Amino acid sequence: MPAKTSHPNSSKTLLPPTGLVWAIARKELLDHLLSVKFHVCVVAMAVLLGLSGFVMYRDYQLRMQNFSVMRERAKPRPAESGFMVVVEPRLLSVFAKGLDEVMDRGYTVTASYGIVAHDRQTSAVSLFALFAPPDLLYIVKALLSLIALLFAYDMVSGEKENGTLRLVLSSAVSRGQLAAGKLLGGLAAVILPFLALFLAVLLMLVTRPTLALGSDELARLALMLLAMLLYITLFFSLGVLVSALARSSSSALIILLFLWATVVFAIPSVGNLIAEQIAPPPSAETQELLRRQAFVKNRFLAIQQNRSRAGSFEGFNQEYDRLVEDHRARLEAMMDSSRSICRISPAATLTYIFTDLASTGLAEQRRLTRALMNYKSQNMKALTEINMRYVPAYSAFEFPPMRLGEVFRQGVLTDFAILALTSAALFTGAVVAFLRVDPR
Amino acid sequence: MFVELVLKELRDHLLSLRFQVGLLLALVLVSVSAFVLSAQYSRENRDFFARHQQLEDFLGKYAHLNRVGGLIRPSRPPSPLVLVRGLPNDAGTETLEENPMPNLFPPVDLASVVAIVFSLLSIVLGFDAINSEKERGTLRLVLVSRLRRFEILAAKWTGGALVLVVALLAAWLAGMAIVLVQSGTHWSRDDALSLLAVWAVSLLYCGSFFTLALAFSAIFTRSSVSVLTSLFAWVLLVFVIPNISPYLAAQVVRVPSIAALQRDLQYVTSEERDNLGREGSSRAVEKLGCVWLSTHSMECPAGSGGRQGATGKVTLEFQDLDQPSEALKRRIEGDPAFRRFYEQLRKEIESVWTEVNRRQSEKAERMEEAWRSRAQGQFRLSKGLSCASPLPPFIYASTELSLTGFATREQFEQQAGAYERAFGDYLWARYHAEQAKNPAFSVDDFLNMSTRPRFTYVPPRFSERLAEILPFAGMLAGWTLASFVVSVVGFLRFDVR
Repeated sequence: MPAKTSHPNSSKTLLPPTGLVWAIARKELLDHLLSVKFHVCVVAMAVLLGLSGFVMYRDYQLRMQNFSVMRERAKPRPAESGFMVVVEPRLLSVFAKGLDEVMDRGYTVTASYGIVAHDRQTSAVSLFALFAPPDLLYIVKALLSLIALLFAYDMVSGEKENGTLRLVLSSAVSRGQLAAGKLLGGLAAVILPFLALFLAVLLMLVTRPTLALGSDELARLALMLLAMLLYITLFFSLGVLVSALARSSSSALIILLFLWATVVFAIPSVGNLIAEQIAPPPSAETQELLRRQAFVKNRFLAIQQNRSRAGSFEGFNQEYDRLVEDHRARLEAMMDSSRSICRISPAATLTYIFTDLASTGLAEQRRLTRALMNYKSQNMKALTEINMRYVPAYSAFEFPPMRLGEVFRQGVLTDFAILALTSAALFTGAVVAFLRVDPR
Repeated sequence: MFVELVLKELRDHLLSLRFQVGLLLALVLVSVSAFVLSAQYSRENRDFFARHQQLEDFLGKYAHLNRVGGLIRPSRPPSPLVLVRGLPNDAGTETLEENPMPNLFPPVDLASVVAIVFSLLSIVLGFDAINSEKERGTLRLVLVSRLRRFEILAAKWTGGALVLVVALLAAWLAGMAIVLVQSGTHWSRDDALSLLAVWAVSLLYCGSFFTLALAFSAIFTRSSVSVLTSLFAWVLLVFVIPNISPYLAAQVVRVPSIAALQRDLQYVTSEERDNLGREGSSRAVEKLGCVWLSTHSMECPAGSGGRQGATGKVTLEFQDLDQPSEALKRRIEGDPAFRRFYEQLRKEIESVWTEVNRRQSEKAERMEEAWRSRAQGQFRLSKGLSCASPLPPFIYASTELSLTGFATREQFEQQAGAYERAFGDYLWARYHAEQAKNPAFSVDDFLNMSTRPRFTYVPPRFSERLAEILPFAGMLAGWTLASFVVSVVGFLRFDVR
């Protein structure tokens, strides 16, 4: 029996097109695995992820300790003018601290002078205010993007300089296959070690008793991981694109470095400042002064009109609620325009995705304000009655994290779509630029 | 020859793509941030004065001694040196909802552009200064000239440093021009000198990164290796060490919960004090033969302290000791024995409360002091750890010079404390003066405060600011010097083949 003949166009020496792509990808990956750059980058990644995991986990532990101390102290005693409520640190703030530090403190809720936020734990050491927290979000946003660029900047221009590009292109390999193979191989060289390291750090953290992750948290983490992969692909593709367009690999590197600084740091910050120009945020100092004045005025008027202390509450609360409402409306207008502007930068989009998924984002802070105001009005009767000898029945303050479905409705889906589309566009751009590259 | 080499380096850098791209980006960022920061300054300044005017109007209508303390809080106007933002103004932290954006994206200003973009530019200018010449084969050529290796290195360093001088000068001029035109602010002589000092500190900071990259280019013979090493060093120094040090320090020196402290202080100075005061008072009055009926009233023998035999008991409200009722006043006036008893009772109770108040406020002070010293310890440690990188000393120095740093805040707090004491004295003096005119005048009655002392913030003079930043400038110079020594040693051992 004669052997079955294969496809007439294929020969023994040539692999089928997809096999060829895999072969190129594997060669690219192996090349990276043996390079100094790869080793240095992997060591850096390991150190950064490990350090960040350790430091942020310990920080969370400290905040949880403070939280339990505060919760113990928060029980109302006779003679108080209000109730103290404490907001629990969010579990996933270990990975994206976001606004957690702003939210997880004590609040005194009163009928006579509104809601007073207590000092933040970090306000004692102002260094915290100067430098961003080194959480996973920061490491991925600022440093992993840089590593992705370092893997990509000489992918085309380096081969062109060495003359190997001409050699490869003169073989039977098509440009499309070469482009696909090299991009996939290079991407794998960044993503695989990152995945391995990330999972190792995660495994180390979840075995800790304080950090018991449920299925909800794991789903959120999986979504964060998806966002990270999209983000890394985006920067890698950008690197290849510039590498294919630039004259030399060193000029590609220089252009990419400054582009990186612009995208990661400049655009979100400048965008935010521009949003403040469009919709100026209300001054916290002014709001604070007006709250105090409302208290002084209403008590003064009540005394002048021979009304009791409780007689001043209604007037005060009308004034105070309006003040908070007005403040929040202006703040939200500013935050909305800031969000729209900053989305130009994938780094900002990643920040929104991470903080929203970790329940440490802008939407969660809005929710907290509403929850506290609702708590005040629900307990108004008890707040009015509490005195030297008597603590009336009151409801406990509950503030569970926003549900995942709700998080999606708040705009995370849009952020994901933007990130995916930008990555896809840049990936296509990189392939096209590769196809058109002049190998001379 | 040396000068020629310096000029050649300068020319090469100025015409290079990397310099032009970097400078362009830096200038765009400085200009945009100067525009928005000036507008922000004008807005904050308007808010500041509007707040003052509003407070004046308010006090004209509703001022009274009892609750006015929370309103008269010293505040300082926004710093006219708008190009460096520094620490946020902390006066509004009790607000329910603050602007959260700076927590998510640290705002861009001149200091952050220098900290990131200019330091990157410095690294990019220096990382292949020596080894690329070897790769091109020009290093051998240079070495056959009359110049010694040290002189060649010095010439390369001087050329690079001059480029940084030019680049930073361009950024400063652009930023300052925009701020002056946009915000219409006036800089005093001290402010102008401070701006110049920020420029000098920036130069030292960029110089330290340039010299570090130069050292790598003299140690590694291949520029592809030195670029990676320089970049990783840069990432470590700019993005890792500053951010991680406060968190590491927090692990070493623990600061107990501030919320728990505030809660405990409130307990010690109010409820615990009241309980102790009542206990002490009840013991004191028992000596005089009185019996407490409740926390508000007591029963005393009517004729105590003189006449034999009680003719009937008197129920005294606690507040009778401060403001006796009309019936009681008549009794005191008409019955000398009862008056003596009443005076004695008042004196006993007053001394108990004075003692309890003193003890409790001392206790509170001790608790606060213990907490503060822990917090100070953590602050000092994290500041010390962070100074392992040149970025934090640069940030500390530039914020201090721009009146938005730690020391400036502390100095403001001292001034604010002194003012609050002076205002408290004024307030009581005014109250007693009103009471002298009208004995029925109470702490809840309208009290005209228009003659009160006004708080004016006195910023530190330039010489004080300079003294504050000298250690930081010294650290930056030390970085540059150490890197330079390393590059000299590296270059002397450099294999040119």
